[in-house]
Amino acid sequence: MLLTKLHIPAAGYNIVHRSGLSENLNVGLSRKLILVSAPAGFGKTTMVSDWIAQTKIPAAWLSLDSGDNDPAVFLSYIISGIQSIHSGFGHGAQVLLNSPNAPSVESIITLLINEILNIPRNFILVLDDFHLINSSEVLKLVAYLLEHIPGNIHIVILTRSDPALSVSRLRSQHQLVELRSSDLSFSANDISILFNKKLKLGLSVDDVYSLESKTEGWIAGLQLTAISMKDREDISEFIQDLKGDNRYIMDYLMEEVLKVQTDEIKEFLLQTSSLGQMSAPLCNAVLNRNDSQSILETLEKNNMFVIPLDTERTWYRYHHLFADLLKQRLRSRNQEEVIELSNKACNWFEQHDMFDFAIEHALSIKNHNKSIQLIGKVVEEMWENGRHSVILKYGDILPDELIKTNNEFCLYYSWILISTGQIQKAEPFLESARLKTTEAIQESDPASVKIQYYKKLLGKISVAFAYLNSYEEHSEKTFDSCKTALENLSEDDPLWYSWAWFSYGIAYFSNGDLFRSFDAFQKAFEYGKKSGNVYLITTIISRMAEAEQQFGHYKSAYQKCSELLTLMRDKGYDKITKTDWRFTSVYLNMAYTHYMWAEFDKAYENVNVAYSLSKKGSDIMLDASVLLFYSFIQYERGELLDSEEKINAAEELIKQNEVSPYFKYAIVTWKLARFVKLKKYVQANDLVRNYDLAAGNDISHVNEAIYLIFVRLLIAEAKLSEAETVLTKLHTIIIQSGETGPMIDLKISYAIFYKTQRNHQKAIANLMEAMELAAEENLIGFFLFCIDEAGDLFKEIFKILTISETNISVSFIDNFKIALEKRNKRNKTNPDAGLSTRELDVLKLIAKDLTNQEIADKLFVSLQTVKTHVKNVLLKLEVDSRVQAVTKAKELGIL
Amino acid sequence: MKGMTKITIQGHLDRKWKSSFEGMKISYEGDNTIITGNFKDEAHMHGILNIIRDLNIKLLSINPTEK
Repeated sequence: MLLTKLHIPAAGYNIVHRSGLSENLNVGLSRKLILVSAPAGFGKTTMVSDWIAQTKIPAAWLSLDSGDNDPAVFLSYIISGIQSIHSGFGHGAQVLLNSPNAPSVESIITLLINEILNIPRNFILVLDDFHLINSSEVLKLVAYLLEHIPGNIHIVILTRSDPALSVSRLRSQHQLVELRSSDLSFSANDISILFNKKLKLGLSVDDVYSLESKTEGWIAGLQLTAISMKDREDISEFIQDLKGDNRYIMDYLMEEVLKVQTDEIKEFLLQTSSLGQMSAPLCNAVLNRNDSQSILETLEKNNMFVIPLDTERTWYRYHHLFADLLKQRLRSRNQEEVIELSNKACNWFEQHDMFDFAIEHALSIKNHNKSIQLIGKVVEEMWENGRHSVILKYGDILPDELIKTNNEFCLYYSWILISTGQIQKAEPFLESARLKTTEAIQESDPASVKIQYYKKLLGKISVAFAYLNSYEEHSEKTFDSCKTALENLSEDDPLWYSWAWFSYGIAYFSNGDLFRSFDAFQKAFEYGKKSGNVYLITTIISRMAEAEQQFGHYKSAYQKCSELLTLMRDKGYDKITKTDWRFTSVYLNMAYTHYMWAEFDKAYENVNVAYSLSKKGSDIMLDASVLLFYSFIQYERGELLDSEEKINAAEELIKQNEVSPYFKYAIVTWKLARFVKLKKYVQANDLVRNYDLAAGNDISHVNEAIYLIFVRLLIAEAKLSEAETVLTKLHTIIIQSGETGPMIDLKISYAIFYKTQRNHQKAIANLMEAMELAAEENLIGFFLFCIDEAGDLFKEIFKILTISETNISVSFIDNFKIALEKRNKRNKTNPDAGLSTRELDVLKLIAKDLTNQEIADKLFVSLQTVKTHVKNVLLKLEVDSRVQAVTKAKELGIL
Repeated sequence: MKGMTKITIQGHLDRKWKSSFEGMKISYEGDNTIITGNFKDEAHMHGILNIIRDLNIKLLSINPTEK
């Protein structure tokens, strides 16, 4: 963190206070944004810093540079800036930003906005040189901040070109104060104050007017003019000659300015022009002198466009425009000199551990060998602190072959490439790092310290490979990588160690080896906690909860998820859990458990959160899972068309993207189940053909879920011998894996099978066994799901339970009965039709002859939503028009 | 982006600036300076336009020209 970037620039000597502009700025204190947009040299910074000094309003200042195009870096600076006003601000967000997981920017901004509200004062946030921001992510972030900005903060943007933010909307809402070059340029009066009152140059009125027209009030031009006039006797003549020809005025003025400097100062200016930011020790080292401090101070006093960057006057920079003009002169004089100066500066920065500057200097003269050597030293720290855009930028600039010479850079660069989905690009770098590190280990003395370093590195590289392979679903390769990783890493690196175990967990999971996967996740969680990285913990817990659910351990899975949410709340990250897509699966998990416990409203609430979160991410599997369950719960709520849309969208996603067969079947299973429940056997059989399901096929863990539904289709269509074949195969495989959920489903299928065979006793026995299995975890959902097929059997079981003892707990039966009652009540309020509350609202308004648009306005929903509801209503009432719908509804007593 | 582009700016810009406008030619037409050349890509074009903006030079026109 460079504190100089947060320093409010001193207004400087001989300043012209501009009360008119200050009044405009004061108006901005009741608006969201003050935009100061004018070209270089119009005194933007000076005007605003002078205003802050005069009004004493608390201000956070950020002088931007091109390095701030990384959202993590940008936000870190904003947080530090605001901490100068309110020290307790944003510590939680800072911890999240400084992590290698690329946090969701929006979630962090939401967190910050909340904290800004708690700052008990009005303050401004100045973003100077905003034109240097071109990253769409940072622009989006600022736009989001402006849109949700609390009343006690006002943003001031200083820029050379209008920012790509929705400024016009703020303007029309009267939330904007704008100052442009015509406002900022010096009037004849301002010129007179500067030249006569402050600098005492004694200009005549004519001279002043002449200067105004020749410079068009451009302040940089006026200041260069003032410097070149120093010690001149023929001032009027000088002004008359000014712009006598059509040369670019700055070329002309710069020459005049340099003409009046001593040779020593001239050289100092030229040779330091490319330093960016400079201190006396740096200038001394680069220029081989020892009096730089006094030169810098003299330059500042003489208004030579030198700006102090801190109050101690340790660091300075030139005004950007002045620096550009000097640099151009230096370059056209001697290109080799530029390279030599930059190399010296680079070395000085390196010796003083200011690697960012050292790297920038090395890159500026295309010294790529030096660049990669420097970057290699800091890349791990950059990665740990979430500075991913910078690493990607370096990767873009440097040639691939050179990158491959640095194993560490290869590792971290690949990691970021993988996490941004650029797997093909990452692989060769990672492969090269693995090869070279393995060679280094073989060539090193086994007792040396160096070999420890290489082993650790190989361990990390292997973790990255496991990460890469997990995307490509290569579980064999993943196992190999995990093995190597664990052999070479130790608990001393909990983050990496945890990740290695986590990768193991995923690989086992996708192979269907749930026991091992669960063990691995358990270990990953243990070390994840040691690493203290909340994103890692979140990822592990959500996968672990998923595995537990498969085991049938719903209570424990639910507890894990809610403990995680409590932990986040205790840390002050409450907002994050509702805005960061990584929490999608946590809510999805909880929704599924609520469904199983027949708590449908809570299930709906949680799946809604999961749905809105999943849209913020880009994980196809997660998106499809959410759509799947959304469809499921909407079906349960009677929202049939919506439910159909969601499952079709999920199927579309898995068709367009490559997913594991296990996952593919998971999605299609519900689609098939839906058709079976709706008795749409034609569509069901189409689906069966599309996915090649047949009683004669092999059944494995990968496709058992869909066969559990396929068998119910067979039973419904009275294909009992085929059904029996499938049931036997399923039995063999499910007994092996020992998973509770599938076992419950299987026993229910057996019950329905025997019921169809009129073997009543066996049907009851199987259903009761299923209930026994489900009782401990209170898994009512399984039985509600089959209520249409098995309904009568339950009545008998209830009777049996009143007269004899069983292993089914009383509380389970009670809960089940309550759920059944609720279900009956719901069906009664919507007799036959099964309309949802919302659809009923819409129907009532249709009866009042309202148009779709009027209904939308009345219910505060979109037109599209109303259209969907209307479609649902017509479908459920089995009519073709709105008029018929109303008539039918009246007949049914709904209206 | 294909083909030559001609940028017209107000005033005479010293030929020494050529090195700043990477790969472009500088010539004069009356009181104006003409910068011509092939843009490698969008980023190259924006870079050139930014230099003009940063020097506060008046940009008069940008036109594609036949080779």
